Amino acid sequence: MAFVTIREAKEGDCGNILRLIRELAEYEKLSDQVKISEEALRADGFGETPFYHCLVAEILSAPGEPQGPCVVGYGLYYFSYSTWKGRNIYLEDIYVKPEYRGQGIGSKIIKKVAEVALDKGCSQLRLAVLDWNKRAMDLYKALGAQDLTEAEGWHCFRFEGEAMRELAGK
Amino acid sequence: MNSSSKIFTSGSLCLYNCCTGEERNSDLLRDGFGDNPLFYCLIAEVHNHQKPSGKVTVGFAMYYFTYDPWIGKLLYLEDFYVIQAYRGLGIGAEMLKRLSQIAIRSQCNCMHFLVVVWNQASIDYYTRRGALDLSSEEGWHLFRFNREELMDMAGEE
Repeated sequence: MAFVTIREAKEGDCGNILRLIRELAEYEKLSDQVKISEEALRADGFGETPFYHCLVAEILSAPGEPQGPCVVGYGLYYFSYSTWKGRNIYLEDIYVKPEYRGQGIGSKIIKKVAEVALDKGCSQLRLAVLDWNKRAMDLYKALGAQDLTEAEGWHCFRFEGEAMRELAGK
Repeated sequence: MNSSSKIFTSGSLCLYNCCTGEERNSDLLRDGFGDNPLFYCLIAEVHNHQKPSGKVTVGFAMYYFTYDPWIGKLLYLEDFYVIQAYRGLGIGAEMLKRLSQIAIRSQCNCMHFLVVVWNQASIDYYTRRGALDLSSEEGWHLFRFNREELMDMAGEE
């Protein structure tokens, strides 16, 4: 019987993480938006100034089984800041491969991020979910999260490359 | 602009706050101006000879860097404010311009921020300048766990 462990990602995990990032984008029906390379992920996460942190869910095979450990999920997060509340944590991506869902791996990842949040003195954990992803919404609500878009009307906005360049040039 | 104003990168103790006590000020000083800043700030100052310092802060933009695993670094605009009496003078536009320049210089691909949907004036202000409402366009909802929920989650087996 295999069991799962949640651990901090190492630089050598970036290839696997990128593969799972692409799978998540595919699941969210936005796969054409993935532009990042493995080199950029390595530099941005494991350089002098990390811009993100990552946990991976790893299945360790049982003794006697030929296959080695296998990364089946990840949670990518970073620290943010509120002028009202101070340091927060933002869970940018969380994903578990379809064949490994329903075993509580996603919940284990979120709980690990919650531990990190408390350890680092954060007062909130935030994340974004697509409105059709009912399974994810139900999971987060069951764990006690509040939908701020529904409850308070918060919308996420973005200035993209071209719009940003126009703002900069005016 | 018909009053002279300047946008400064905040390296001083001058922080704009609507309501703050000593405790929050010391948190902001530690978190923004220590060895590892958690945020950065632009402030807009206007000359005012009636003030002992000769100037008054009329607006600010607080930001930090976040990460999108699909495209890399982003600039996240956490707070953006100009006091009522100084709106309509282009101060906000100048701050957005500086922020965009900072974002580009820092190899950021986008700027992200939150707006409350009932704040139509703000929504118009940003969409007029080319911003996209991702919640409406793509269906993103923002969720939050407070400290109590974090403790419940962390405490479970």
